[in-house]
Amino acid sequence: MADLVHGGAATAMQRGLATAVSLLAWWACLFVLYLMLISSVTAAELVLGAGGALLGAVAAEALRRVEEPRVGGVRALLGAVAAFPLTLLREIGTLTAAVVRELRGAGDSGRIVRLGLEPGASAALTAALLSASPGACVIDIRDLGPGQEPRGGTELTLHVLGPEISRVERALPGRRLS
Amino acid sequence: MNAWLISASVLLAAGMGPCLWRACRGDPAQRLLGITLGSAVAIAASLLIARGVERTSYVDVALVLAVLSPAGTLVFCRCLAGAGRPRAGNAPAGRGRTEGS
Amino acid sequence: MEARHAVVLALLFGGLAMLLLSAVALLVLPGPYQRLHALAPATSLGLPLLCLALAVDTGPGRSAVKFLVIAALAAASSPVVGIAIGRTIVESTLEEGASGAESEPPA
Repeated sequence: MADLVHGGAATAMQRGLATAVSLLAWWACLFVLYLMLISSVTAAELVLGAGGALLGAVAAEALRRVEEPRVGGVRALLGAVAAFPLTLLREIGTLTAAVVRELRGAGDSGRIVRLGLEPGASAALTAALLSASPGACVIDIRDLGPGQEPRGGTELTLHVLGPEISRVERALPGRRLS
Repeated sequence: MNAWLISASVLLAAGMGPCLWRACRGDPAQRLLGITLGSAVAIAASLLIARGVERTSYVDVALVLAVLSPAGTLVFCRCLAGAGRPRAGNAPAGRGRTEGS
Repeated sequence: MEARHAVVLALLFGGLAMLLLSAVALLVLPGPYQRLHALAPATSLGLPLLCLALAVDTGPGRSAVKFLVIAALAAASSPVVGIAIGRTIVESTLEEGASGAESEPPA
């Protein structure tokens, strides 16, 4: 709203600042990564790394402008991230048990559930966190329509191996829809 | 023969074998699973072999595999799922990408 | 250096066990969606443990960071790739004309 009142200059400066910060951050990360990966550090390698990192930073900034990724929604997921390591170990046990059951011939086909996620949490990070442990696999991500709860949130379709709800899922801001 | 090379042999036989089996049978999406796990096993095997023959330059093979195999799998997914045709009852294919950062 | 050697061997066998578990699960589990779960232990725990073993074995320095970068790349990209494959399975099931994948899991 303030941008409309004060004209385009303020937003242009904001956008310029965002571009500069993003370019610098990407350049620094890529340069440090390059330094870690080479075998011996010489002056020629430094120059090459700086130039390559600049190319990569320009490409990343171009992509950021096109895609405009939503940053944020991480704080709501800190509890789930903290619950992840234990969940990973438990679900490896669940997978082993499922394999053993299948070898004995008494297998179970798992079930498909739908999870409704609150709008304050990043759907991409949630899906990655859920998929990273073997107990649940996200197979679809969809924005919820206006008539569905939770409003403005996202619906994740998961395939789960066992009937119990994992700690990561319990720590998520959202609940199962079916 | 040291522990690293023995581990690499065991991994290639018992790890890559099932992946190749899965990649040879079934419908295309199932075969893609075999290829994806196969690349993870290949990364592990090249790391172990690099350590086993004590040539650190072979670690770069594993690094390149780690960077390129997800991209390859995503290309296959795009080819198998069709070129983003919207379907009734489904959100358009663009929604299926993981959104955000 | 006995302790370090023991730690390296323990991490190595842990990583190998996770990778072999993934392979066996991929082979044995029936049904398209169940096999998706088999990809997770290999890259979330198997490769990181293996790379940690190599990093401890190499000692502190930039080579160790290289191994950790490989582990981080694999662990970060694998869930995303799993979601993409899951969606591909859903769409290929829909194409076959089976009743919608959201209502019941295919056999």
